[in-house]
Amino acid sequence: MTVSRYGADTENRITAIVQAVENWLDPDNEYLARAFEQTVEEGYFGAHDVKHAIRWLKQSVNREAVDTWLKQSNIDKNHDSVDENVLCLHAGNLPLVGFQDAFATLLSGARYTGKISRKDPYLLPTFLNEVKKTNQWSSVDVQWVHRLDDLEGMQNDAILFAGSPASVPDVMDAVERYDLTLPDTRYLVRTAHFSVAWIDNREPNNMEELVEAIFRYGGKGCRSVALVVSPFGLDDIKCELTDYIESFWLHNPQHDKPAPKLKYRFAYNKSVERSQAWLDHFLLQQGGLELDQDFICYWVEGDRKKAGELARSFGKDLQSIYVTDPQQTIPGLESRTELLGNAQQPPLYWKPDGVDTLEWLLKD
Amino acid sequence: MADWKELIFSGDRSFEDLSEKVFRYQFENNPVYRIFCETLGVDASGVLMGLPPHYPIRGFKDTMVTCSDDQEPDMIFRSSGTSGMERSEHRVIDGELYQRSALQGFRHFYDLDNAVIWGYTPGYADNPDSSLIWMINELINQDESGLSRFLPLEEPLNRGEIEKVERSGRQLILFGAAFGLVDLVEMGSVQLPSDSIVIETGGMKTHRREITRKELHQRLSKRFGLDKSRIHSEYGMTELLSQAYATGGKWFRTVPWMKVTIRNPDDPMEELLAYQEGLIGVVDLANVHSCSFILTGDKGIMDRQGQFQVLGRWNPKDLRGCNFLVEED
Repeated sequence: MTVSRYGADTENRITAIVQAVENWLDPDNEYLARAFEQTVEEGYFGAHDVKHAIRWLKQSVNREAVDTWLKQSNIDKNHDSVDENVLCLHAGNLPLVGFQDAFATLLSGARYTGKISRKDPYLLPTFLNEVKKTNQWSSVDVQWVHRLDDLEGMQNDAILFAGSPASVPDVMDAVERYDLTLPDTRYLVRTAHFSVAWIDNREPNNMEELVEAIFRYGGKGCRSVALVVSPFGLDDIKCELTDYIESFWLHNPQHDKPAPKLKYRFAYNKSVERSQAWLDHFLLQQGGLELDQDFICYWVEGDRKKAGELARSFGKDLQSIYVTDPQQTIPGLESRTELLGNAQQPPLYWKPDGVDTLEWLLKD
Repeated sequence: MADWKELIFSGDRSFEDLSEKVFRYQFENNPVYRIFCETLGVDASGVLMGLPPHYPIRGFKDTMVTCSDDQEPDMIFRSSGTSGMERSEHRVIDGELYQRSALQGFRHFYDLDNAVIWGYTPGYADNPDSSLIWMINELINQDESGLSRFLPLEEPLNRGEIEKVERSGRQLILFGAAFGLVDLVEMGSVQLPSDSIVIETGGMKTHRREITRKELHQRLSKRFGLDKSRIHSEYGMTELLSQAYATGGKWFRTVPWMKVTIRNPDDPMEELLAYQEGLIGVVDLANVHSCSFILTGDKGIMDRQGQFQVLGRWNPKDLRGCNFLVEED
């Protein structure tokens, strides 16, 4: 028998949760299949996006990834969150976007309570049900609701959620109103809502990765690229890029359609003679970085220094800055720099807002 | 060329008629606005369907919004801002038109001929770019008593000067930006004559501090010893040549040649119903030589009488990215 570098409890949790994920993602899991069908039939997400999310979890969640995460989080035998209550207020902008928070909470040993998003109501509960089937977690340890007020009076040691600066105060008011906090409740609030890409070449694989990074999930993830900085101007590259976009959409038609205000922006851009590419359900525009609505990707002509300057100027709004070559660095943003190809295929242990969720949960 | 001043300010024609005429003129003569309309599928007859699109106010930062790009403007107003910030620029082709809008508009709400105007703002010489200060300067210039003036900044109000106004029998009207007035009252409470009016001109939020309009009015009312109904608000901006006033309370009313609607932020072509929050859209006929149909970045609501409230800047909550929204519940 091998000796675990973790305590026996942690080791048991790792084994159990990895097995739970394996069972959950088994092609014969009829509950997940039904949740998939309902999600698509009821119009929450497009089939291709849900398949992408599930396929990626299947590839990325395994024992090795958990070990890497625990190592990254500097976990030793004396750390866990057993006896703590953690509330995860899950967003629903992407299919299964709440998976990482739920997984980290369970892995930490804390009791998990989830507020499932009304925008993604079916998928995550099938995972949580699978977790409850193990001997490791009981119904008391894993519970979830679809309405926040159903949790009234259940106080938590930690609360995790993501929000825009404008929505955070409403969430804080609500958790107070429903008596979900203790005097020393810790909050992990993420506000990053987009990523930047630095593109210095037009290699076909990089163009494909860029298109995936921008258009996957209709551009709605915080890992989605909302701004490209490149030595190539938009007018110079847009015909070529449009071919890649059409090819992507052929296989991954965009599920959400933009509001009429996107056409309004297009008309405005035209009036001020701003370079742009109208893609019916999406807009690429050069400059004019208002970042105030979805379905727009901004393009800025500039060098790597410009990319770094811009990315830094976004502060807490920025999730990641992507590069195409692992040797490339963006000075001052080393911890936020990732490979473009990972934008929509993040490792299990990726850091929302640059914070390791597991490490945060386990810290004293 | 139409005598726009006569048409707009005489009150002989309905707002709708004038609005249609102005739209046609701007569609014809303002290339920026025409391209905007055409791209939205609105042609010169679009107004007949009630559709003059509201042009995003940002246009005054990004381009030249004018019907007369070959004509030297009488004046150019610029929004405030520090170096490096983009500033709006409004080229005013006909200075007399702005003068008439400002004065006739003010008279629509106040008895200017019986008023002493004090401006607790930088003087015109210090800030010639500001349309607000230009307007206050014009109001001051209407007063032949010599009592109207810009006040020195960073000095408390002078008791003797207030008494002089009181003795003149005129009504004191004090203009100031929100935080300017806060700074003024923090130098010490002073009792203004009971019929005085304080008009705050906005600016509730700076990079250093923020205050609600309600808090501001309470504080000003207390420190000036005035009834709350004497604390008024002005709604104006560099990009508009007309103003709206809230003459006691939070509801603004417009001058006859200006109309406000609330637009759907997801579809600014759509006008929202009373009491629905949205973006403030303005039709300002005094903007005849630039663009009269403006979509502001301000959040507001309207009542059924056409009065509106300004609820701050529009700040979208549901941006891309993970976002837990309580409204979902």
